[in-house]
Amino acid sequence: MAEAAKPSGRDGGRTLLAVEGLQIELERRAQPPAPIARNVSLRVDEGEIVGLIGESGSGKTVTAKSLIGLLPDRIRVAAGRAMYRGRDLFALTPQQMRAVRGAEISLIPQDALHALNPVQVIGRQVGEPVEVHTNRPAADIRDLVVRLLERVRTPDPRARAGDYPHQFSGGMQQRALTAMALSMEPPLILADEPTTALDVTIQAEIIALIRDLRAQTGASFLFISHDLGLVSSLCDRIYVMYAGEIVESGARDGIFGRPRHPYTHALMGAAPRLLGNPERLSTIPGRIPQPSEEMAGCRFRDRCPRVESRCAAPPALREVAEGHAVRCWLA
Amino acid sequence: MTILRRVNWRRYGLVVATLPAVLLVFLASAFAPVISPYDPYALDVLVMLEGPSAGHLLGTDELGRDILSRVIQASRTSIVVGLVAVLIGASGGTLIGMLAAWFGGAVDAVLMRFMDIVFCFPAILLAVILMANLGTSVLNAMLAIGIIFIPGFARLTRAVAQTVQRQPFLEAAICLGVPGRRIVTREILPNVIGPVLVEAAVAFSYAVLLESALSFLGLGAQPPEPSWGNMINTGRGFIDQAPWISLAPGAALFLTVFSFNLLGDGLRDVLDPKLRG
Amino acid sequence: MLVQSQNVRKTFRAGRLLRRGSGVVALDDVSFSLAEGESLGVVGESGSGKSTLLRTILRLTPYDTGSITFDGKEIAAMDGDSLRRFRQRVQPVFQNPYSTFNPRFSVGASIALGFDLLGNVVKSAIPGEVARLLDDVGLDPDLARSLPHQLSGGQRQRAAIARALAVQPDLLLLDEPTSALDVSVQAQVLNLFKDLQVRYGFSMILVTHDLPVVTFMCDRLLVMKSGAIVERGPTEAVVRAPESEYTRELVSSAL
Repeated sequence: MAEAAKPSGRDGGRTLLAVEGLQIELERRAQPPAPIARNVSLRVDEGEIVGLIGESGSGKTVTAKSLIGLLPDRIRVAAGRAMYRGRDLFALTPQQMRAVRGAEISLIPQDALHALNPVQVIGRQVGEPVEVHTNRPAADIRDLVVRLLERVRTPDPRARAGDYPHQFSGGMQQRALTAMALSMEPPLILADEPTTALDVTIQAEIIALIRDLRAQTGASFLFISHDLGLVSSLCDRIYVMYAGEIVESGARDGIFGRPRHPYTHALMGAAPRLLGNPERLSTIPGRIPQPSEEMAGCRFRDRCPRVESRCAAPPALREVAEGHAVRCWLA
Repeated sequence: MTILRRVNWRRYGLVVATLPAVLLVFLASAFAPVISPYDPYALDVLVMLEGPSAGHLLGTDELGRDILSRVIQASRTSIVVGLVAVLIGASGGTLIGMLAAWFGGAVDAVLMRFMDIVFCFPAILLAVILMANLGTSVLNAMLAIGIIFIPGFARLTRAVAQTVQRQPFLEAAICLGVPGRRIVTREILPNVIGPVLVEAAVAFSYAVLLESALSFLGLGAQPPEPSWGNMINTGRGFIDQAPWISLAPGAALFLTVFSFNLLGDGLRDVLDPKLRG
Repeated sequence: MLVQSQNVRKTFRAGRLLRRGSGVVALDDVSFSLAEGESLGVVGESGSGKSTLLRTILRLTPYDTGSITFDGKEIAAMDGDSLRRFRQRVQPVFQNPYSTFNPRFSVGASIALGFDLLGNVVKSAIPGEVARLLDDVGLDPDLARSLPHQLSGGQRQRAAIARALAVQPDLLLLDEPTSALDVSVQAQVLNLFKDLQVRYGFSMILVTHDLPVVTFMCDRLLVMKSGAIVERGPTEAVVRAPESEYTRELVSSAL
């Protein structure tokens, strides 16, 4: 396995999650299944914030959702392992997975308003994972909920625990969901674009909150986003996905300081900056290939400004510098 | 075979499946005199209350009339009542709902409160009131059922129209300077037609059921004119000796109501633009 | 001045039945002007009133007091012919690419509507003009026959721009036109706006929460908070040296 995760990470932290050779497929009628995630390998170490970035259709969200068994109908894991504390997450029974979800690995969803039940008070929902996974007395759980809301910086947590979701602003709802994800103190938290629907100043607060939580609890985060700016300010290590494949991975400074894959490079040039913008933004011609589109060689080849003849053969993800891997012949 | 594979079954499947039953009902009523084996009104005292046989496929009633011929003849009443009642309900309701949604405010409030009042009348009661004044007839039954349908269509239309009116594409049309009447007919109405058609198929089956209920009570088609409702009622008296008198029209009623309900679901798939190829 | 807004106020009353106090102030004494050919950015967060401002200029939401003029004429006073002409000179491009087209009509039919209303092109020439516009916004003219849901988000937003351009507007009002799009698609659409502005010569007001988009697109900038303009000026100067506390916060979260 040339693409297998290496056991050591940031500060020599121990590996918490190691995904190897993950293949996720969309089942189709009368046609062979279309791979949405292709041979994905990634690693999250203890206490690490790892970014998984890509545009729509890159496969980043299904990759994360597969880890907690939340894939939609007709989408399934076809191959691969996800080793978490000595167990393969893909080999768990539905019942075992229920015990993992929320307690060991939790998810902060994207759409805060729709993720909360409008007819139940916030406190009840934040305490629900604890209610489900333990048999702690109700009074205990109530106290815990107040402490959790406090930890995500909800003002007046005791009173606000009795509020309904619509009485919370968007940022407050996202905090409540974060508190819910934290309630069982899971070692690993998957955050699926948790700030996309929020205003920029609120976004900055949630990012600061995640950073603090890591410092306080030592939890690890897998942070899924399409936003390069956010990922660069928050994550220790980054995986860039394109058309179902990881095309580049490495430490934040390596990726943002010196992106080696032409796609990563183009993505950075496409985002407008606060100051010093060029007259025109650099763009990527064409569009991202569909999962069903098989192409010989590199999947970015048709859109790549630096395409060469050897790109007709599929490049492997190879290490070009310490901890920095790129799926490109030219890197 | 290839043509079967080219059809978008997700879109047309249900409609195609219900088509045989729907066609059967419509064709039977259209060609009733041609396909009926006997004159549905002809008495034959020699074969009173006879069970199904080669001569009379569904048996005969207490006056020796052929049940199959009468079930076929009765389908005409059901179809006509269903079509006219749905036409009254759908056109009246769509008009009122569109007016309420487009003008809003006081117009909306007055129209919809009036609809609430109409909605309170049970169809049977309204039919009784109408017939007390106008006399019992199939025509009055259609009118009563049609009026009862208006509020349902009005509410549906208003809800859909209001949703459409909040969509950016409608504001884009306003900003292009499209005149009000054209916005209503070109932008809103096409989005309303789909749900109204679906509702119409379901309302049709309900109208057939209501007409049978009215006839059963003696408020719809008058003997000797056959209708599924009054046939079931007649059969009630002979349910021990000749259950087929009630069962045959009952089965026809069931088949019609069931297939039109399914047709409604099928139409929903056909009219969904997202299921177009 | 193409657009001039003076002391515009708008209050949304919260629940007519409850009669509770003053309601929500969406626009609080808003004054600004826009010259021909200019690109003005309006930045603020949800609830800042930036979208309401855009809707009042479009005459989709009436304002309570103050005045907004377009080409010297008060927009609230327009009716009949003057309103129709105003409608065609001012065109919106909305945020959500999924509901910006009537799902029942082909994209081409929706774009053709503009030519039809303007009446400046003979009926038989309209399909050709639609194809030309689609080509101008970088879409395959064959897409005219497609239904909206068959296009990607970026394609739909390009088609929405084509629809707006069909009536040859003098002013485009853009409400978060790229916030639902991927970064690489956003770059294409933003470049497209710039190219088209050179070719067609329209003015733009761009409403967004995304400061870098404004600094790329606009010469001048208004920052709104709670319905009021808290800062204004040339984009680069404001970003380099923000004066209000709120603008400083916006700039630092965008860095």
